[in-house]
Amino acid sequence: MLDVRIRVAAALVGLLATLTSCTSTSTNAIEITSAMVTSVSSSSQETPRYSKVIALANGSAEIIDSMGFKNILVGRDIASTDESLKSVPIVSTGHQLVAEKIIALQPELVIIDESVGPIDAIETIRSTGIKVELINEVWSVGEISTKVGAIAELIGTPLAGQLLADQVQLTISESAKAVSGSPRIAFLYLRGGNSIYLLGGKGSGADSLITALGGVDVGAAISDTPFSAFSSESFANEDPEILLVMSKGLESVGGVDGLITLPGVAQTRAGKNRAVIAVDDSLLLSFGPRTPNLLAELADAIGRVKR
Amino acid sequence: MMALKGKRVLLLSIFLLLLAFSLFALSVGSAEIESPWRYIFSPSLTGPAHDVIWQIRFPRVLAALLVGAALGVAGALSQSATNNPLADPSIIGTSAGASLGATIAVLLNIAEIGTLPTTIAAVIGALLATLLTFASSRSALQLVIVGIATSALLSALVGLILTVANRPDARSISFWSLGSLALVTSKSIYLLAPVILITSAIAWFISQKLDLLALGDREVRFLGLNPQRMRLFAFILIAILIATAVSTVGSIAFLALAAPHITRFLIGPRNRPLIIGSAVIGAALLLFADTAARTVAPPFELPIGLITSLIGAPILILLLRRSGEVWR
Amino acid sequence: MIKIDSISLAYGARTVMEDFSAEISLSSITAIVGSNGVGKSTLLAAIAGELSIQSGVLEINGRDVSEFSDKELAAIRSVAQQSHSYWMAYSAEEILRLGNESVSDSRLNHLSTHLVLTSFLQQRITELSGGQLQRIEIARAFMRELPLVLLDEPFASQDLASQGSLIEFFKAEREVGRTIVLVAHRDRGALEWCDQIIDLN
Repeated sequence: MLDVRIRVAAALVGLLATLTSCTSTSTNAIEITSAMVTSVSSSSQETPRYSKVIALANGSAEIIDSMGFKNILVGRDIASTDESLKSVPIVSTGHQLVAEKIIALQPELVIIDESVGPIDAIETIRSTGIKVELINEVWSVGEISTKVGAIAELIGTPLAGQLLADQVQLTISESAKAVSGSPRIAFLYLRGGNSIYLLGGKGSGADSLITALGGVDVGAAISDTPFSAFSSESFANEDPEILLVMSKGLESVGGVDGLITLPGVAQTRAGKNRAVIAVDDSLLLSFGPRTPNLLAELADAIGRVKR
Repeated sequence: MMALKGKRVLLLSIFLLLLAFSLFALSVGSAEIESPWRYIFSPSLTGPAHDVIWQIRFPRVLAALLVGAALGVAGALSQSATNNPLADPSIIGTSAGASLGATIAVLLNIAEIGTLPTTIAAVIGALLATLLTFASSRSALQLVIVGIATSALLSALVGLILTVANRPDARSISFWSLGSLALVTSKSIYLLAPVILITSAIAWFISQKLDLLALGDREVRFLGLNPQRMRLFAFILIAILIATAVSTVGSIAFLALAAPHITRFLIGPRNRPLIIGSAVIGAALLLFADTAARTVAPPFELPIGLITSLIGAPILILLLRRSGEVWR
Repeated sequence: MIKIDSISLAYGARTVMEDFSAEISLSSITAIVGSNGVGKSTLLAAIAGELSIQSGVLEINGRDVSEFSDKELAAIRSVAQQSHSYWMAYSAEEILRLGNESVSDSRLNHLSTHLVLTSFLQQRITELSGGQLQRIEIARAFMRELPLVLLDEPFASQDLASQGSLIEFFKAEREVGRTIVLVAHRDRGALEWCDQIIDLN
């Protein structure tokens, strides 16, 4: 129990340190490049039932690491980009896994979700006797604990899973302070200066983050699809106060200067005030142990960008 | 066969209809605006309605007219230059060359996506691709075959480079195949207008010479002229038009193929009127398609390639069946 | 007008003729005959300046044909090819006018009358029969009234009546000073209206 409280304190201190190291470009866009991981030590004293695991489901490697069992990982997913996992190799190309590579590592368990493919490769791996287990994808803050629990169940460490899930919940409720004024935030998926940008709607993942912070996700209020192409006029009409984007997407349109000249964006309050928050691509929608601290950073960024 | 006067009247009527439709296009959109005509005829009025009409719709309508005309002219030129009604401007690798030129420029940090230097790089890439194809072929038929190979090779190169280089701004070039007019601003117009208007004017000037290619290369040589050189000049113009269009709005399906066909059906294959007609009809098709893309399913925006294919394909099929001019 | 002196011609790797000599005088009609593959079209191409000569000399008006530039050749001789298919639906009249914008309307009408083109002049070139198309090609060759006209198998797709009008037309053109060289596939007997017959067999 004492361990846990110290952990929380350490996490908050670390959070402060991360906040002060956030890069803020001279063009007033706020960039969130990383977030501290919420973790527990292996204080549950359980031993996982497998010693060689490849975690390919979105964010699954960092969950296993956060439970204190990094030593059983022989391969990780592309979203788990935390520094501590640098030594664990990536064994897929994006969401496409390479069967030979995985079989060569002789894992005892491969954890996947619906985004991992192709099906043939998965079948090939199964046919060699390697256990391949599927967990559900998670696109909301509230379901992070479920994901943690599912993974803990698979590797046989339910207690550690419970501890981490509780920790995550705690940190979320502490960091996700309601931001004042229910700011209208639009999540944009940018694909370069020639192709239409997409507006995040219900189920994009960002809607869950925005709602958890007490903001209004502009796209989710009108659209049931995760991403859709809005006409510039309609987007201008929605007039969001803040734009949330991913870092690589922002780069693809030429940074904040490029983004705020796009038709539709230029006519909004967010565009005119340069109120842009950019989050590292692998961090924003990872829905894992970094999400609680991400929420804290987002709350802070929203406060700063609203002038 | 329509008399000359009849053709001129027809073209003029279509042109006037186009102007009227342009005004109409300014007045419609997914944002509900009361009395849009007030804002259209008094550009000095300010407010959100003014912004929507003049900052969003106006550049878009202009771009549709300019790019549509460019694609029409490029299509007419490529069909006349290869003496092949099924030719398409990208057939000898122009689009692929444009992508490669832009990709290299962006990666070497010489240019930023969406700026003039990128368009210049795209034009250079398209020209080099054109020259490469021309250097390896001696007849119109060879052009088509070598062109397909050049296109494939350059596209593969672009794909390879984009996979290896970890640059999101460069990677946006891979989205050029999903063309859209939604991101056009007045800045784009300052680039599109002079390039397209001047190049199209030059195309009109050489168009009469291109008629000779219908006689076959051998006869053109008997007349003391060089058919490959005439073709090359036409393809240089095509490269400039296509590279400029693609680097500003991406590539748009079907227009370059369909516009000259429709024009030929209405007024015949002579190149002088064909260039003008293809420009007008290309502009009309694209304006219609783009207006539909942004008004048919508000607040959503439909992909323009979908609409141009939906309009272009049936028209093309209809024309081919009625005229039977191609299949002998 | 044309002096051919011991020429050898090759078509690709194949030697078509060797040590061939002939003379064609001004204001005459010459027919080149012979069986298939003997080199009639090849010889015509050499006279047109299109094909280079392996050895010997071919002179037009005293000047070696290989010394003429393309433009100079285009100013003294025109060629009617055997066949050509059109993809684009120009009208027959538009095809006649291509490259011949400065030719007078009266010349065009003259050709139209004597080559029997009037009935289909406004039709699309893609809709003409083989014979009609060929007469258009022949008409093109006579539009600019050049001194030398070369015709490759002008009778190939013509019926008897058309052949008759063609022959009358050629004779009339000869009277005004034209030099005509044509390739034919017919019996020698039916070519008595020609001034010279070159039999390559």
